[in-house]
Amino acid sequence: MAFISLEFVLFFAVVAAVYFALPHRFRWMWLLGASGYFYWQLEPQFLLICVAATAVAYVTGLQIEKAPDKARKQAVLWVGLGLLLANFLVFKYTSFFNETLRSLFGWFGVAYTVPEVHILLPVGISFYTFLLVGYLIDVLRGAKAERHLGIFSLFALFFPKLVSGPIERSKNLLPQLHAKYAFNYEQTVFGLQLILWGVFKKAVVADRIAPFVNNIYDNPHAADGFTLTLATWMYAFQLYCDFSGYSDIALGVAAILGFKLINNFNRPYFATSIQDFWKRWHISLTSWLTDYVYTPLTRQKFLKIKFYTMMLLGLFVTFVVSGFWHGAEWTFVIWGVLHGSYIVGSLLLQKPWNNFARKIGLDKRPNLYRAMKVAVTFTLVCFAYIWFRAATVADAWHITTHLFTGWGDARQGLRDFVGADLIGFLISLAGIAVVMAAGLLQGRVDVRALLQKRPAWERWSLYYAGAVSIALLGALYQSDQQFIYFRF
Amino acid sequence: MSETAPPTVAPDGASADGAIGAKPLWAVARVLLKGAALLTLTLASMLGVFLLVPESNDYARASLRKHERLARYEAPKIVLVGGSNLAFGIDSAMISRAIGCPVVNMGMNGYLGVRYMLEEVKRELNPSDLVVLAFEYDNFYKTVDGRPTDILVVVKANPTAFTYLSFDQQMDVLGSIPFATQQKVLRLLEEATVWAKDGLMGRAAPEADETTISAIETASGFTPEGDLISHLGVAWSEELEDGIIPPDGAIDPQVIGLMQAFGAQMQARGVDVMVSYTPITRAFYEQHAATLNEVHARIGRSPPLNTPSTPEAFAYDESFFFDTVYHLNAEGRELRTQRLIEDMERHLQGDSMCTQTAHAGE
Repeated sequence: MAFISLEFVLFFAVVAAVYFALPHRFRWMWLLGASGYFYWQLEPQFLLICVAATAVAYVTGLQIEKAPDKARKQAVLWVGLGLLLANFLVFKYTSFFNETLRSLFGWFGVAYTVPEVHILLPVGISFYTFLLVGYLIDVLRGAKAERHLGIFSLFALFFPKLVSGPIERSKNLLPQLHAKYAFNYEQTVFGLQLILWGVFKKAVVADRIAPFVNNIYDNPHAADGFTLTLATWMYAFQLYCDFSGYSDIALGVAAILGFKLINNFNRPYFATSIQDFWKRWHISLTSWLTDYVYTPLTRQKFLKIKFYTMMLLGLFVTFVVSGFWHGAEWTFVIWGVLHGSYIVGSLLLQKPWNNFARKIGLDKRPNLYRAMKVAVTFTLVCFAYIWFRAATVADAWHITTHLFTGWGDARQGLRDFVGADLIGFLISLAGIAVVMAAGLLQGRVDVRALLQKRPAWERWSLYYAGAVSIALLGALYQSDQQFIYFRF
Repeated sequence: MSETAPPTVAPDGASADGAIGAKPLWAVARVLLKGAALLTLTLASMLGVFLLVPESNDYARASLRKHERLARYEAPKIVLVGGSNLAFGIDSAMISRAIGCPVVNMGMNGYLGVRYMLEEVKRELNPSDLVVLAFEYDNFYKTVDGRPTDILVVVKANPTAFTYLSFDQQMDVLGSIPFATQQKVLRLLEEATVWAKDGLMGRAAPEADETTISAIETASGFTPEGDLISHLGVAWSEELEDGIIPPDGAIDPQVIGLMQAFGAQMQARGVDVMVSYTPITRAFYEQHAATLNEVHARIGRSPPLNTPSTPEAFAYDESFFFDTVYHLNAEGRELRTQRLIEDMERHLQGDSMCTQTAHAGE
């Protein structure tokens, strides 16, 4: 059951109607049943795995709390983490490690007789595993373990965020699952606005861009540097509109039911540095990695390294972990390495760069300086996307090494990119302009507050324009574009 | 908008603005009413675009004229049932002259599906009529229910066509309205882009022999009998479009089942049914000979269907074709019609089917 489908609309309408009709004490049961059904519709064979992981985390959380001292608490935590991570690693990385070993053995001319392994990846495993791991570490750090098995299961399985996040935190979501909530008109309208905006981003922008990008990335060897650059640039907007579109729908659905999920995006392509970008992009993952990977790494006492060096190392490792989390492919690892290198490099170069900027007077022209920083950050992010999007390391390498070819005939490159679908391309560009304009506006004023102050006819014109453009311009009817982050 | 934080929810369920729960039922009703209003406005706009923006051509309007003719002749008459291979590749007047019966060529578009093409003629068939079935080979491998967007265009031109559809088809056709509407909008945008480009950069000189298929596929391009003649004499510069035969050549069992059921039903009503074949290029036949002959064999094993000729009998040199492997040009049309006449005569075994003059009543 895709988020953008008639089935989901009907499903959610029934879920919301019954949810608000039920007394509070029965609501968790209803939402848990609905969440289970939602997952069952996606991948029935993996529901048990998800339930088992939840049970492990539930029991482990209680045992950590019960354990009399820190050492025993840590021991229990390691058992729980071991089980959760083993489940995650087996499903996600068995094939990757097997094939890596095969290549390594091959290089050394040693026979490797283990056959190829193909394991289907359960939907949402990366998201619910990180959610549960975060919960256990929070309990070790003193958070209260959840005693209510039903509420805890709902915390793990809550359908709006089950498949692609946001990766919730126990301190944010668990209290909300206990709280009483009555239907709220303002919040429902807000949720519907978010859903409309999310569907617009996904259907009118991301899915319109997708065929152009796929066409080039499916066979990058046939394209020149201009076309590859254009495809990568368009992919940046496809990925953003796809993932943030999903997140908006998830947040909107949750908001209607009275839950405030973690906001995952904050205008990332207006970031002025890579550090800034990661504060704005997939915020729930960045914050998770900061709390549960980076912080423990920098606080470790085994390696006798200066704090600053450890911080740089910690940042680098954290981004490599982020790359691994995204996918069991070397392309994702290299993507993580690139971002780690960007961050470490920018921190090392920060002082000399600031001195240089001051010397040439850039700091006296803040708007220009800011625009330059935004452009450089976006370019670096796009360069890393080559590795995120390419099907293989060889493809990514080819693209990287051919970016500067064929710029002499950019017109032909544009023709190659657009193909026969000029209108689809123009719709994509218009969609990007709308999304970026909204982002620009949001940077100056609170768009929602602004909208609420406008006369009804203006608000309704906007809703109408959104709905009609989705219906008439969205790639809804003959495309089967899944959300990109479903595969993670 | 996505980056705006939702209103905070306090643990007791009260929102930050404290507006919660005062009149929950009224609040629910407000949301539902406004949601319904937005949905209705959007759907109404879509329907408006669908109904008001004309199709890229009026080819589907030919359905009205074909049905008028079908209803006009009681019996005996010859009714040709199939897709565009019949529209592009039959000279009905030649058949009328040879057999002595009025001919109604129902052929329009193979994508309407075998079910529709059979259902649309049933009501108007009478004892002593002869029905010739000649479906494009593609039809043996794809759904009998046809392509909803193609049926929708015919239904829009000829609303009675909706009654020839099964319930599932009707739902599919209605469900295809949003997609069809979107295609119209995209077409308008494309035309606007071309218009703007021409305005800015000057209109490009058209190629001397440039004729689009949209200019050929028009209702006025049909003869009263239902043959398309607007393509005759037009030189087609592009390569022939191929037919779609799946690699495994697995025939959809529903197609021959439907044809057989139709044959049996018609036989019970005293209507004669004969199966013929769509014309194909010799190269296409040679490439798919085994598969096409299997179609012939399966039809042969499905009484009361009768096939006087084999698929090979309708395989011609490429020079006799127009734009696809199924569409004939003027010379090919004559050859194929002649062959069909011979098949009909063989099928009728010398019986004089018609006593009236071919064009009586026109």
